[in-house]
Amino acid sequence: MLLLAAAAAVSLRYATYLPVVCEARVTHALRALTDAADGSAAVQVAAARAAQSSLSACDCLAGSDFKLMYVRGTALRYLGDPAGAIDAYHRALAVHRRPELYLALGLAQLEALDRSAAIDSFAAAGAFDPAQLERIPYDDVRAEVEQRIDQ
Amino acid sequence: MKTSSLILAVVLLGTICIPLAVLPQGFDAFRLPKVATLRAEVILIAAIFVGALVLRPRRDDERPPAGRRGRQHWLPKAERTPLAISAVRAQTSAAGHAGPPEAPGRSPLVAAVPVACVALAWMAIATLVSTNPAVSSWRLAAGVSTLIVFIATLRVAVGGRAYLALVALPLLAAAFNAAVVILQELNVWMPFGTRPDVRHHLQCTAFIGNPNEVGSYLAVAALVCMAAAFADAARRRWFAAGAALLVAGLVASQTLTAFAAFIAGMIALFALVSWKHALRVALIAGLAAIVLVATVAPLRQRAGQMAKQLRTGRYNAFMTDRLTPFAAASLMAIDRPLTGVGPGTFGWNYHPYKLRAEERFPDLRKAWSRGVNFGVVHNDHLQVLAEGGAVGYALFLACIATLGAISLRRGAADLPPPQRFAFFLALPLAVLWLVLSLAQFPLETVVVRMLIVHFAALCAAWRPS
Repeated sequence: MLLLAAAAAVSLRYATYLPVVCEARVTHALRALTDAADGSAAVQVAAARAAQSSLSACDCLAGSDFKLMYVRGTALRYLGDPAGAIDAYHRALAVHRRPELYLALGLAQLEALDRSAAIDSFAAAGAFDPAQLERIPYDDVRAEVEQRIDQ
Repeated sequence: MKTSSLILAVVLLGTICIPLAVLPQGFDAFRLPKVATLRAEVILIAAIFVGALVLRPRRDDERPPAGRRGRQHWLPKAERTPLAISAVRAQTSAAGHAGPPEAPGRSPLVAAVPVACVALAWMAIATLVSTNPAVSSWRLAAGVSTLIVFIATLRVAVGGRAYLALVALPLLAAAFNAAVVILQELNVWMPFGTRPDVRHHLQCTAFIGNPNEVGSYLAVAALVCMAAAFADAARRRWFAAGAALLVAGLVASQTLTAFAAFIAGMIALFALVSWKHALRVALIAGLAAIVLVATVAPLRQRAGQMAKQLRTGRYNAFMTDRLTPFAAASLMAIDRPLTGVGPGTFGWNYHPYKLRAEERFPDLRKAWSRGVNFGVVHNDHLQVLAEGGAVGYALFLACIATLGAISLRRGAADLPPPQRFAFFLALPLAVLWLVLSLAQFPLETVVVRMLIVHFAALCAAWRPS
């Protein structure tokens, strides 16, 4: 009976408690990262560290929650780890192929100096939702992406 | 406390908690908390069941083997007449060995569970061959959870036990939500605050999620309340009053498909009494709909918009820009007609299929929702066909047909209230489910799915012989 009670408690923690708590933490972290996007590098790093720390207990949900890996990827970008960010975005895309994830992946790939992969990712985002192209920060890259989509 | 009483308590708690669970500080403020609550319910049911198995005293020498046949084997072969078997059941029940007496006829478990189990087995096969098995496995887990709650509800309800609690508690939660959505529409009480950048109607979510989900949920609840009013003469006033509140909430949600599904269910309900009644109801419903559209300003505006869209050939706008997910789901079904793309993977596959749909039908690029990443089709018929293939869709229809078939008997005058309730609810609920699935997604929304599953289980448990 003790074993059964322990199994039930563990199941309740992973299936019920953690998803709810992590949803609240992801929401808070994403808001903080969005607010920091226009701030200085120091503000971005502080927001990224806070996000990484608050989501440390949520990694077990990465297979089912694309938002979690999206936040992780954005935090890693702010911390200057584009390779880690690219990995996180790929894991998010394994759960849900959303245009904003492709755009974020493209930005991380640009930071990792992988321009051709970034063009592919931006094209995937822009073909789905042309409004996403406005978020590409470089005019020459945007022009190349538009050309790729037209092709 | 007996195991069945504990499971009954958990089932009742689930019917109350799922429609009320929210997480205001989360992005997914409504769906995730309800999913989490369902998982908690299933874990508790499983723990109680396994705990009862562990703690059950071994009395093999006194008790017959479990199951219906086992109880019959308890009797000498020559004495296995129906009367003797009934007498034995009554004895075992009185001795606390075998739960409440069952309704005559086939066991409800034998009658209803196989179809659901075959559907789940097909879901498992479709998960194995899915385009994304990892995502599909989460949906399979949700299917297992739903089946566990269905069987638990069915088992605790057998014999008409806890009739009033099992029927009324989910309706109380629905009545609360109906009251909240009415207050929200009237701008009297906004429990989750207001956002100036979002249209007021879209913020009228009650504790359910969005106006469409509120409408689907209240349509099911209102129909159940009407069926209860038909079945239970002693409490007819209470159920009729509840139905009035739920219908008011349904109107407040302004969900046309839900309203149409409710009307279709009501016509089926009256058809169970007499076809003349059904025709009269159809006529009255038509007139009431005209009066509602003419007098309620938002409905009048929407009807005017729809007429204009039809006249100008803007069919996608007429269908609130849902043709793109419809086309994407159809392309998925054409690509994998037998097994589909896999349970729960429509959202994951939407990106490439949406691009293909837009290539094929360029007008779809003009939709205002072009940038929206649809996670569900907004049509459960197409969703099941796309994700589960033709076999999955046939099983979906078989589940609905099995439910509707419960009402196929002559008359209900001589039945006790639980059986009358099952008789009056089963077919209308099946009709409502079919119609609602044309432009909504009851299977994809936990709160609506679990309400349908709860009452489908009660119909199976209390099915008239």
